[in-house]
Amino acid sequence: MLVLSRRPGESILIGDNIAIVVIDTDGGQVRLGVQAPRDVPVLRSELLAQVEAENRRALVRPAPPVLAVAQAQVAGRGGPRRSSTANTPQPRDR
Amino acid sequence: MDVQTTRFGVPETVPVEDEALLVFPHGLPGFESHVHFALLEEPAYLPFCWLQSLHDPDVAFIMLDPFLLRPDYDFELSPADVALLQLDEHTVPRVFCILVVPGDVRQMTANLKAPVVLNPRRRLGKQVILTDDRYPLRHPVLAAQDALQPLGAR
Repeated sequence: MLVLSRRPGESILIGDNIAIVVIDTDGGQVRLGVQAPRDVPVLRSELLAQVEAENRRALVRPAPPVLAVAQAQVAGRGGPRRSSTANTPQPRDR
Repeated sequence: MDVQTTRFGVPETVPVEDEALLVFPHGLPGFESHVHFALLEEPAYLPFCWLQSLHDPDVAFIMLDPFLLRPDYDFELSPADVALLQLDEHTVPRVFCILVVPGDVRQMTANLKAPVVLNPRRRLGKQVILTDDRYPLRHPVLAAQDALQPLGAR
């Protein structure tokens, strides 16, 4: 891992089109500005860790009776099943 | 093809059509090595379906149409995700949310923060992570159904 010292207002460049700017520091916290093309995903790493953990939790098996109860409640009270494509977000160019 | 699953805790074989076989080029978060999946959609279990890994019968995610929970659910796919899924104006993606179903079914939650998006034509999929804060990682499913009551009257 490359380790760099930067002061507020200074930045580092990654490749041709990603810049990370140190905006300010306050106690133990650092505010960063990220300039990157829209097609480069920028995520807080703990968010990815949360989704990974939630996916692992999802592997716990529902027993069929548990599922049948849930099915009755979701399907029965929700009315006719709506098409999952009806409200689907459309890809948009930006 | 026949797909092996332990979605109910016991080994089971489910026949699926080729149309239900999917590739997740990057796997799913926490399951990056699982690239091949089958979508198990059976009338007996609707509105639930499963995303079953073809690499491991024990890796099966139970899913639900998020629009059943939040009729106003919407998000924007990044250009990178549109490209990965090979979506175009002729293709309507399908969207699901992964459920966590604990022993007490009332505690069932849906992950609206990281929906599973499929391109049914290209049979490609990705679990995308939404960076805005509008949707939670654990949306209560059955409580949401109470709020949905008026939908049944439509």
